[in-house]
Amino acid sequence: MNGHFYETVIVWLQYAEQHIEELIAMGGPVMWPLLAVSLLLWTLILERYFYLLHVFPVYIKDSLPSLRSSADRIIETAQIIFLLRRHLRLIKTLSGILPMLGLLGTVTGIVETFDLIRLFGSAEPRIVARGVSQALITTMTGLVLGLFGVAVGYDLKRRANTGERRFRSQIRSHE
Amino acid sequence: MNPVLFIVCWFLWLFSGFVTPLAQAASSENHAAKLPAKIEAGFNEELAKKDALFAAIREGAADLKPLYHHLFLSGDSASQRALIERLADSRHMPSAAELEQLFASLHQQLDASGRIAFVRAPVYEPSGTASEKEVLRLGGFTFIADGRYLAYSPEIDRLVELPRQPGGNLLEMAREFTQTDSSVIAPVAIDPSGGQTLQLLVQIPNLRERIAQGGMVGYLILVLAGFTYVLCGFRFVDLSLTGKRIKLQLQSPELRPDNPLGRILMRFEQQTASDEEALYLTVEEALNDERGKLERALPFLKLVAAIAPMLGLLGTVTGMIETFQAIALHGSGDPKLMSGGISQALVTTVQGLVTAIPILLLHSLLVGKCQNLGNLLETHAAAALATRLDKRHAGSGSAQPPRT
Repeated sequence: MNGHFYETVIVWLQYAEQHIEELIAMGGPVMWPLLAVSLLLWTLILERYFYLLHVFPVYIKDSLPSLRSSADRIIETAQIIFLLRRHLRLIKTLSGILPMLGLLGTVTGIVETFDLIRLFGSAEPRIVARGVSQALITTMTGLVLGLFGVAVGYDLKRRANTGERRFRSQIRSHE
Repeated sequence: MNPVLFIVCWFLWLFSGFVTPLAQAASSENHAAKLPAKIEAGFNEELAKKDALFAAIREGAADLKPLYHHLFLSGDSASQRALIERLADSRHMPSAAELEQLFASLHQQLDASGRIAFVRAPVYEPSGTASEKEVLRLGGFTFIADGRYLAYSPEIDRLVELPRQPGGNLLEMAREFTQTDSSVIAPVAIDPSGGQTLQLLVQIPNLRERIAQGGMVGYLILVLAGFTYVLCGFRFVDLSLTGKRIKLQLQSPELRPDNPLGRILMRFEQQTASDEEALYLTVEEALNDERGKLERALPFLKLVAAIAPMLGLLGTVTGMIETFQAIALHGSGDPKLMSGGISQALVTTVQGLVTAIPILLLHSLLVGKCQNLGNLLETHAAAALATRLDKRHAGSGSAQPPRT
């Protein structure tokens, strides 16, 4: 049962990899910046979730009582808020950039289409289809990745706000 | 004997003497006409057969003619072309030797089209100078000399170096291929259409031509982009230095005037009023000043990030106007007439996006940096305020008990 499950997962991953490779090949050169940006975005998002779900609760439980003077507390609060909201702006910007990169891919794909039309004429639809598929695939990729980023960024922001409120209430209760 | 009979007999004899050779001549003439007719029929038959053969040869030669004209021939190309011309000519009787030559020549071409070989041949450069070069011949498809692709030009029967070479990867392959050992398998680009695709490929505009296609709006976007990138660089260096100085300030006990935190704390120290309200106001004012200094040029970056795609859109619209004017003037029959405006439209859009995307990213990074520094300033100012108030409360606290 277990071995069968792993086998299925591996086969599925292979399919996915093949599919992604095809997608990149069809999407043309703009796929690379798209991939780079989305990789960066997902690294940041994972780091954020790790911090918010793992590091921050542990910190709140352990190291609050050691704060004594009010100046210490102010500095600590500011640092925690900084850590909570770190990268959030970048995540938002990156998820805004992804659809724009998709749009860039659209336009470069259309430029390529027109180049090919100029060279070979518009008689062969297969030639035109290559540029158009480039345009559409990059747009789709940009939109999908960007929408994920927006949704996850919203969730992260909400969690950061909750964390901040929790921290402030805790510090008040420690005073 | 009757003399009359004698005379008649004599006449008869005489006549018979005449008549026999005449009859003989007539009969021989008849015979001569009969015999050549038979031969001629044979001849004609043979000729008819040969005619079909000659026609086939002529047809074959005519079929081969374009091939021979569009091929960089191995061996003596002029004599081979002359041979084909002669064989294709309808008044020429092909001889067996010529047919043998044709066969040899075809065989040679077939053989050459399956080999990779070095040939010495005159090559015309784009500047017009001709020079004898070592040409790498990849079958009948592709020719490479000095790591550059050549194309065969049938009009002048010469190899011509392509005025613009295809992309870097293909050129690198060509260069490496000429240098690798012949026993090793090495990758190289082959043009199966015999140079035509390569010639089309280099018609795709390069970066400079693309930028030129963008027109005025394109240049405007590029100037704006260049200016903004330089500004981003300056702001980045400036903010990094300020951050470093603030960290130094945090570690050192004395106040320095070269960083925002030092300046705020100095103003705070100079404030002698004991009033809480006045202290708050001082800190607030100092913070606002320093924040303003930190955030210099950042709104401009945001503006450019918003404006660049709009400028691209402007280029799109002007390009489209150009396109429609071309259509109004010349009709929509020729797509090449419209392509100028369309490429302007698309290129400016690309330029606008390419400008805006990195600026958005840089703006976000710079604003993040700026806010971190601002928060740091605020925190430490608040901490200083809190310590001062604590001290005063402690002082008043120690002073108060005797009073009460």
